Amino acid sequence: MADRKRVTGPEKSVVPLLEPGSLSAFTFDPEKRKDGRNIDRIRPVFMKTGVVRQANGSAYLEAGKLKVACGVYGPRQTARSKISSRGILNCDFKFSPFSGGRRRAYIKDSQEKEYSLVLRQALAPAVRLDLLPKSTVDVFVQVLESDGSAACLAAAITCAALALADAGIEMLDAVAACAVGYFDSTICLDPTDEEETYQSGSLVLSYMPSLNEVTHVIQSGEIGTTTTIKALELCVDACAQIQSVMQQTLAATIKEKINGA
Amino acid sequence: MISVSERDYITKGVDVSIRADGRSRLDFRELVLETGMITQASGSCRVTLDGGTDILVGVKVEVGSIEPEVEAEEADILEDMEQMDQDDGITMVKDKDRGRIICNVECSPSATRIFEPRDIEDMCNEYSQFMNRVLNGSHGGVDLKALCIIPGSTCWILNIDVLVLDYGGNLLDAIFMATRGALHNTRIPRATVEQSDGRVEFDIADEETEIIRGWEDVPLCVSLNKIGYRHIVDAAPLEELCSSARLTVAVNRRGNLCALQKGGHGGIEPSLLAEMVQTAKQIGQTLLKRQDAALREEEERIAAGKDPIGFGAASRH
Amino acid sequence: MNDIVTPGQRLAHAGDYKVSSGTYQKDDFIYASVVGISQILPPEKEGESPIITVTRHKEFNPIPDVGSIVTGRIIRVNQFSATMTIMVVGTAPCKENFQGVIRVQDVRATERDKVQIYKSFRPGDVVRAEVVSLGDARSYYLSTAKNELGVIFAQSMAGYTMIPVSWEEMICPKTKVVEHRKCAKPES
Repeated sequence: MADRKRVTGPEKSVVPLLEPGSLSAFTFDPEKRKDGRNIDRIRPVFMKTGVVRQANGSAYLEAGKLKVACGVYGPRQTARSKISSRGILNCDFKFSPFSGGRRRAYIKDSQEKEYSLVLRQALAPAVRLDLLPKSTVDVFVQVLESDGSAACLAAAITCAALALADAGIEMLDAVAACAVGYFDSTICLDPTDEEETYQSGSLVLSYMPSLNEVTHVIQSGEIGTTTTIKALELCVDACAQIQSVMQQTLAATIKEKINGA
Repeated sequence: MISVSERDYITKGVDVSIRADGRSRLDFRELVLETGMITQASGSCRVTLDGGTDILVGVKVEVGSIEPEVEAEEADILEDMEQMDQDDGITMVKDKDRGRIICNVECSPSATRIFEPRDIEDMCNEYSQFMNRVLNGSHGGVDLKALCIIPGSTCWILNIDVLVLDYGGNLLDAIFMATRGALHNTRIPRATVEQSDGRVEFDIADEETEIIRGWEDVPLCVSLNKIGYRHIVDAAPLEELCSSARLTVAVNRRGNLCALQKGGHGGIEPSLLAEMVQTAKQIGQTLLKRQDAALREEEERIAAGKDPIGFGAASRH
Repeated sequence: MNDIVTPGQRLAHAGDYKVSSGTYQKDDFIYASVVGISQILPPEKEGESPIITVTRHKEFNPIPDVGSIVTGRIIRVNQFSATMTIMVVGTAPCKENFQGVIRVQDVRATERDKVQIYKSFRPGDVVRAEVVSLGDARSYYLSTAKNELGVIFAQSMAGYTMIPVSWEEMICPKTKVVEHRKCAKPES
């Protein structure tokens, strides 16, 4: 019988990999961004609707290297076990296996599960689920290429809202989301993967600009209250910018249809 | 499910700052805190909120390698948590001199009838993720560098397992309180590193133990529920059902925010959000003081060699 | 004001118009809730405010609601009910089918106790019905207890499309066999 209470050390031992000073400090300056943006600028964003023909609604979003696609199916009859008088919004968030530095498995890992949940929480306040009794709306977000995990989540929310609007599902407002990175006291909008490496915290805000309501907020890192509030304001402004692009994209779809017909 | 009249009753009560159990909007429930009753664990704590919520947290320390070897193809559920750490791979590269914290929240099936098993699973996953995000990092408080045994190869891994024994609302706040208590109570065996012939070896002395460095910087959570146009702290289950949105704020003793997360299905105006953050910060500070006092009492009790009250604690009210 | 609008766009003051499909009211304003073209329709009655509505830019997956007229095919009958799959809601075809059930008491308006399902519907019949309730977990509850509701298309045993001869009989044009159905009154 082995002694279970004792904590046994590993059998092998190794020479330290790190010599003193090998972790040389590389100073990172968020004010000098590689892509030449100011700290209060988001990446230029491109959106398009109707990219998945099979889906009831779909959207594609590109910001820098970040590429996200979303398809919306439904409303359709809810599975028997979970009937309710309100509609159900199902969200599914998935990174493609090749989207990031490390290959991702096809099975959803816990980060993807969490993002699926955040996606639902961010979108549900905007969707008029009370008009869809006994029905389910499915939202599938696929990240084709990621560049900054917080920015990815924000892009996913924006893209999903666009796809929901494209599917003709009744919504209170088009939800827009954006991310910031904290670098000590500097707040930097829409950080890339590389910048994220040096950040001390991040925040993702999703917001309904016309109704002036925040639908979701998620922050990590140790941040002072005043800095947080400043970041919230910054995000709110950026979301309004993103929404105007969303509106243009949606309007363009209709114009195209009218002119085409 | 909650009826319209019940919802109306609670909402109107909240509006005039009178709640069903007699508290005002920003009152926290009575809490009972106890540490060290699970002797097999490296540290343990149980937090009971008056009126139901009952959380037990056990901390187990183990020696592990700094970079977990994960085969992505064989990603099974057990490796999920370790994979999570891998996901932060970018940070791991420069973190070769740090230990890790792995959190897991489990809900005892007997805890509540309100939720469906699937919802419970979702909720546990959400909370586990939240804890992992808060605790693993410089803002989490725990000195991860102190958990390192041999840089680049071996470190201590803190496994924090949270068990929800009973659900009476405001789980997340209670979970963080219990986690902080358990970390205060945790003792790690002393590891001494020796260098001989260019090889590094280490020895673990079971008798000598160390406390976890930085436990006092571990943040506490304050969840504010928005009901009507007002917000309340420490919601009871019925109040949680009426709430349109929840904001969870993690605050440490320096008064900084360590995490911010919104839940629920309603929206919050940005100005109210800012106000809620401020409120949460103040309440968090008082909670921290309250808990520190309770922990000091516990310490004295343990030093005096008195037995814990154990699982009778909840029934003494 | 036939403008292109997007969800959340403010359309008008609340008092000026009556809220209709594709729009909603919050506080003092009316907003659009779908992408589409906003239109103002004349009021239904004298003295009411005009109606504001937003028409969707593309077909929407319709879902049955209480009161909507649905069309579908009978897939199963037993002595208590006939089950049908709803394929059209109003005039819009569904992309995904919903399940509905016509219970024996909802087949016709009179002499409900004498209704026999087998003499009213057969599997394969195409039926027009009204949704009476959202029903149970499985299906919507439907009713054909109106003249214009009931079987609109059916084939005889021999496989020919039958012609209704009365509100409860249909005849096969080839074999002249008369079969029982709860027929819908043809639209004039």
